[in-house]
Amino acid sequence: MSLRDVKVSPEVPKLEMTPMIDIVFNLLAFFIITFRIPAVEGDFNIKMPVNAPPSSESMDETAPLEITLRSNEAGDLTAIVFGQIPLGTDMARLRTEVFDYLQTGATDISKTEAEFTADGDLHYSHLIDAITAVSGYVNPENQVVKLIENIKFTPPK
Amino acid sequence: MTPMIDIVFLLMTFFIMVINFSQAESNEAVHLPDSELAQPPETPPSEPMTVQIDADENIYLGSARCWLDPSAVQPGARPLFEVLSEELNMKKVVSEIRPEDITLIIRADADASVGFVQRVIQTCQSVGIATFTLRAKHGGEGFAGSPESEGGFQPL
Repeated sequence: MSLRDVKVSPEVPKLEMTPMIDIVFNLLAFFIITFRIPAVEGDFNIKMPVNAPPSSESMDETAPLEITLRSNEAGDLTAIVFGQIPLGTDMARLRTEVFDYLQTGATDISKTEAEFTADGDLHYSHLIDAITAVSGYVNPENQVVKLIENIKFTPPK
Repeated sequence: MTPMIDIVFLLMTFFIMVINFSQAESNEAVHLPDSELAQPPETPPSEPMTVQIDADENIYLGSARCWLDPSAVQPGARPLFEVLSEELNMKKVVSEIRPEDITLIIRADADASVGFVQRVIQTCQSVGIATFTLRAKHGGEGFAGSPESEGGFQPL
């Protein structure tokens, strides 16, 4: 048999998988470690221009609804006052009062303004609860019903 | 080997798709208050700027740590007014954005004090910012409830 007749089988190139798998596993580990389910966040708009006119003149003759939040030194909510009506610490009552007030039709809802006066020590979460109470609610059909959208604060003393 | 690689690639694709870079701006130290009405805005603000306030009343504007009171000066921190002014000047020069065009997003911790948050707002007002949004987390343990009686709310 001559050397010419020897058949050399063609060499199949071998794909090196190991480094690729190493990198892929590293990337996967990175994504798993850094993965966080993002919480849904939302905003409450407040408009506070620098040289705003006094609150009673700011919205077409409609006086703002005054909501006062009192706290103790620890920042806990101790009292809610809606206008002159004390509501204890019951946010549901605040919402009901605002709801009833708007139901009377005494004011144009789009122009109604809520002005918050809060003690400096009060925890911010209570302010957000109060803003939530006057801004609207989720009805039994799971729809958001808006109440007052114009929110402002009394400047701190 | 092949099925395992298939699954690994599928997992990779999933994580790449769900990675949320917008969360990169949120500060881990800030635990937002909960609210049932907190929904992402339909139209995001055109010129947002975010101030974060943690429970210890440290202020962060972007990556800069700031202070409000000269009595609360911390190493590495700068006055909020100064940082805000610089940021606004840069926006004005580079993109002709005025302070009135900016929406300041306040991400304050649930345990921060209202007085402190209001003073931060006042400082921002002093540089001309007029539009603010208070950020809250949707759902959770915040106040919830409906005042509706039968028939629902009838705006007049």
